Amino acid sequence: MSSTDPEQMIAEYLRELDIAAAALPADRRTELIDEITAHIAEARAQAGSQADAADRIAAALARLGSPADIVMAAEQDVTDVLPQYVPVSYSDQGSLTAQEIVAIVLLLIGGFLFGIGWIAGAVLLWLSPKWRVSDKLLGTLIWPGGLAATLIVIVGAGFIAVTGKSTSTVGCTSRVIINCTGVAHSAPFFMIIISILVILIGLAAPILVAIRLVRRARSGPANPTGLASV
Amino acid sequence: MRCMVAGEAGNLVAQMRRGVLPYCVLEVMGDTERYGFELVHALGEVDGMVTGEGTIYPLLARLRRQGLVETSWRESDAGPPRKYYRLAEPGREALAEFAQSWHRLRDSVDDLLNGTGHGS
Repeated sequence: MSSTDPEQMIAEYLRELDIAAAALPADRRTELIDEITAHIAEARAQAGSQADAADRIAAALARLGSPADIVMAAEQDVTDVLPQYVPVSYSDQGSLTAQEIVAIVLLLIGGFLFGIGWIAGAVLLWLSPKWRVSDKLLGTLIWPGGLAATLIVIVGAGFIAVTGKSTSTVGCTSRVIINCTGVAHSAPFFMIIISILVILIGLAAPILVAIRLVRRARSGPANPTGLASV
Repeated sequence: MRCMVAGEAGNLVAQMRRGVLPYCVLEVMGDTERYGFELVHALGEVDGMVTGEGTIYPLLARLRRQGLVETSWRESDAGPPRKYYRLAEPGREALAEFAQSWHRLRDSVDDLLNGTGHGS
């Protein structure tokens, strides 16, 4: 403190405080400066016009501590606690919101709405902050159309299998296998096994992907560089 | 586990003090409302409690943000307007909880230290 005049000491202190507090967010800064100013004003009022007023005020400022220390204490609070410093994308640690649920549902069965539903689901998928890019790719590639696509493939393949050319069913035009003349089956046994596997995979894959997406959305931040929330 | 060296106890005490300080602030507030200057002063009187009185204000602000403390500015005829602090209900509960934990901890540590005489 270069001056012994109380007013000057105070002005100098507050100026230092103002400069140091520039590091704080605006509302904290204002609050802190208001409080310290009021504190000092109180000290000054109590010192009054006594002979040793200057000494008392100097002592009060010394007890306050340096502006840098005060601001540092305020800054520690800032990094310790504050919601405003947690990125908006995860105000809760990990959870399914309506957006995620709708996305998953649309990816699964939106394809039945002329494919548009699936597209909407994919858009919501990519817009959501709850998933990493790898999750989003998974949800998109497996697979377009979701269960609707699976069903179309199954029905289409079944249709082809039953009505298409097959060496054992030449002349067979009926869709019902056992009515084909002279032939009990239109397809060899292993073809049936494969068909069943394809059907199972076709149904399971989108469902498993959906389950995985649910788990990922609930398990936490998608952005590993983000700050931890409180 | 790090090796402990003489002199580290001082640092530990500083850390412990930092940990209990919020509760000491709540305690000093008591059942009435106090304005900043007198609160800070009362705390500053307690030996070794704070390095600088000014650092209590950010702490008070945090307590307010956490809902443990309520504040209001009032005009005063003694001089400048004053910011008054009072315990809020959650603050009362937090303080009671702390008091319990503190007593338990203090008693166990005391027993240990007294039991072995002069530590090792």
